[in-house]
Amino acid sequence: MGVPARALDYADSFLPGVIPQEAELTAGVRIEPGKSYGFFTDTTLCIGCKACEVACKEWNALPADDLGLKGTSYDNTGSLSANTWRHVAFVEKISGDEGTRVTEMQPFQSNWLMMSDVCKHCHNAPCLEACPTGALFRTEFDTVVVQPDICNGCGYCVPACPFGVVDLSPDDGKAHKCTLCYDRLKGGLEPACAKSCPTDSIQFGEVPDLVERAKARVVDLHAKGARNAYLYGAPDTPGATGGLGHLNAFFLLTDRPEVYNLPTAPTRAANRVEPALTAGLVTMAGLALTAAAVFALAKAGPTGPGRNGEIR
Amino acid sequence: MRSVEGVIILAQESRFKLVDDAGITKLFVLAHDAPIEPQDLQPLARTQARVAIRYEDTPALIAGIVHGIEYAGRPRSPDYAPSPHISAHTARTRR
Repeated sequence: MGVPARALDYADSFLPGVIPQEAELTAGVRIEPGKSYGFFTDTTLCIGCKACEVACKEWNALPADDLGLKGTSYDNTGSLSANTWRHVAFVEKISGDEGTRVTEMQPFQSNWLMMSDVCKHCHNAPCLEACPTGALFRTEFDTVVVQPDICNGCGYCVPACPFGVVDLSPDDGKAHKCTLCYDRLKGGLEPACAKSCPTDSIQFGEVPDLVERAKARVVDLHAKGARNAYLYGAPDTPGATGGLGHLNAFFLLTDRPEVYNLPTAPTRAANRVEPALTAGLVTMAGLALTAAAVFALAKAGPTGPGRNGEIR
Repeated sequence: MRSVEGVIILAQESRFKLVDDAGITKLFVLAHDAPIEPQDLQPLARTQARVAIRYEDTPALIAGIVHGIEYAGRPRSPDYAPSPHISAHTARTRR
């Protein structure tokens, strides 16, 4: 992305206010209601600096949580939670396919895999479908946001999310997750995590543009020897399964999804309503028929031999 | 239960930053039993209202969990019991 000509209008170090449509200068995209916005996270560019995590916590005033050493990784946040809306996964590939120690370095990132995980803002969001109060809603930017003043803390959204993103806070009893910086989007600002990413591993933009950019990146990586690069969550790719449509926040991965703690084939919880309801109704009908048969037999009386062997 | 008085300088959903009289900023989260709702925080931040809060620290979070909040100038409720440290500090700043 080149430097837009409008950037020259804001060359001073100290500005009088927020730059109108600043995302045009930082991400090359104009933020307008009615369009679909999301993230393309290229994991081959992630260096695990966690600037995105810090920017997210700083902008959203999220407290540091899950304190202490993990003992399993250099990662110090562990997972997404009610207070961690961006999480950089550190995956060290210390053994080969047959349990042997890796002796060859992979192209790009050696034997470390790093991925900045986030809410996927699914096209058909299961959390939104599960919410009984309407606290979860789809914004004018095609993102999914929780309204804490409406959330009643029922927690239905938590198991509905196939990615384990939504979490209930034990402190305020409400569900929390990434808002894709809804307040920043309304102000024409790029989301904090994408803006802070020093390697452009996290790219923000209109989803159709991001998909085209991601496909070109995969072709480029294949040409450079990283034949294992593929998209996860873009339309018609792994991750965009089970009726989810596509993920507005999708990824470029170089290993199996489960290595990054992503489900291989995520599905909507709503897909299971019809078979579950049918199975329940069939079970109830079967039990009712059985009960009716038992009552009918009991009413007809015993038909077997009597106490003394006579036929009654 | 600890307590502190100060000015809310930033509010996001049910979280807010408060600057106390010593200029120290601390992050707070409204507890489920707090007397106000998240939407009440924005006006407090906008008007730079001075508030007194009762909170507790939690081992899993670098933030205070707020159970009580009121305008600092108002009479305090009977169960409001500021810690000695904060009381002394408040007394110093009020002199």
